[in-house]
Amino acid sequence: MSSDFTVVIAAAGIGSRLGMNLPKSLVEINGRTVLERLLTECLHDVADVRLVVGFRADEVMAHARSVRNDLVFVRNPAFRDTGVRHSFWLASRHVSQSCLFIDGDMLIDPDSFRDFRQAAEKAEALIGVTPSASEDAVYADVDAKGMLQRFSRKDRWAHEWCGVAKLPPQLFNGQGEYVFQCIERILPAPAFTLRAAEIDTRQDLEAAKAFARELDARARSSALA
Amino acid sequence: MTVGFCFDFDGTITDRELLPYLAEAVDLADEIGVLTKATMDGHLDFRKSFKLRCRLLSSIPVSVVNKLVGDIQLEPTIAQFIRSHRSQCAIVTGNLDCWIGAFVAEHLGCHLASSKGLVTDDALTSVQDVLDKGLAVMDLRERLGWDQLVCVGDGMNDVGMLERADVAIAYGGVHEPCLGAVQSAHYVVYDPQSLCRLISQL
Repeated sequence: MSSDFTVVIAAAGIGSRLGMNLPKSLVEINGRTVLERLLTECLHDVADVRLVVGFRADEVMAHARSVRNDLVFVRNPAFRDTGVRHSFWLASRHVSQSCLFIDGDMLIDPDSFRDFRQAAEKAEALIGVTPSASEDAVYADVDAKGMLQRFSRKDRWAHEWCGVAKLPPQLFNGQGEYVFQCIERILPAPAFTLRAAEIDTRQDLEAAKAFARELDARARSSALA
Repeated sequence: MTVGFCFDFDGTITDRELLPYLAEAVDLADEIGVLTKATMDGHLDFRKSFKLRCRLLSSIPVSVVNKLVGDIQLEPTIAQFIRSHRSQCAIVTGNLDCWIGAFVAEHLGCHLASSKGLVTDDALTSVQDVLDKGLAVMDLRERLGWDQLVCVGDGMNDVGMLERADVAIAYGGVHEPCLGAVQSAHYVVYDPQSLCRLISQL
């Protein structure tokens, strides 16, 4: 991915469902924070990374700077009353090219993410999905050709929206409370099945720890090989 | 659409704060340092503190100040951005025109809004006008017909211009931007390449 590619990470939220009084990006999973894992394992070769901060912004910025000093921090002072859609809009409103948007509470398999980036290079839009697993899912109807046709809160399809997508930057200018409602305007669009774990609840956190152990073991064995 | 870029000078595009640097020349580093820190942090009124610091430094001949200023290093990436967009860029600084005007003209060639000092026989005799950065950027915008205003700064005296900007950036290249600047900003950036990449897209 070239340096003219912009990555936006939303990390402004309170993480109330996890209830740790800690931004989810700062939650440690097997010794490293969600944000550190994302920056070092998935985005180390991307020059233009924008991190949206709100809740406990000072700590998020200080931690992010301990990983790398060249991030662009985007302030979302209205983080208590707004969601990820607003954070994505704040970070992309001055960008002209497509951006890769990432909800900052994701633990992503770096190999899977590399494949996502490769597929995203050729596509105007690419929507990340995971096999349906979470309690409060936004389900994604993906057809046999891999096209995402529609979203639903009720219809329990095999995939769910996972908070990672390559999208045109102006998508978040218009109406829509949630990110998926903005994406609906450009459907159908190609979907990509990522290996990723979202950390919304304590139960998610336990699942993410197991996932991280698997990823870390794989990284260790490939380093030894 | 014409975009105008206004930059603070000390510690934003330079590698050091000017007044503490000049203070070393007259052995007043501690005194000026305390005043500068308290002013940057918003504990002292900028205008009064600035006049007091200028009075403390007025024993240095203006020609000597100009020579000392000549040794200041500009952040190369940001300086290059300014040189490439001269007509769209302005240095907006509380420093005195008689101290830094020639340096800015020679090394950057962009617009300059600064405080004004009266010089008689190579000596600074009075500070005639302490710059209000908020008013200064509004004036630049109107005079130069800028449709969009981008401001970059790090101190309490930058808050006025950051608040009037369409895009406000707190920049921590040399030291941590003060809390007031951060809270007035849309973006917070610490790396010069990242700053220039960001503003190039505006």
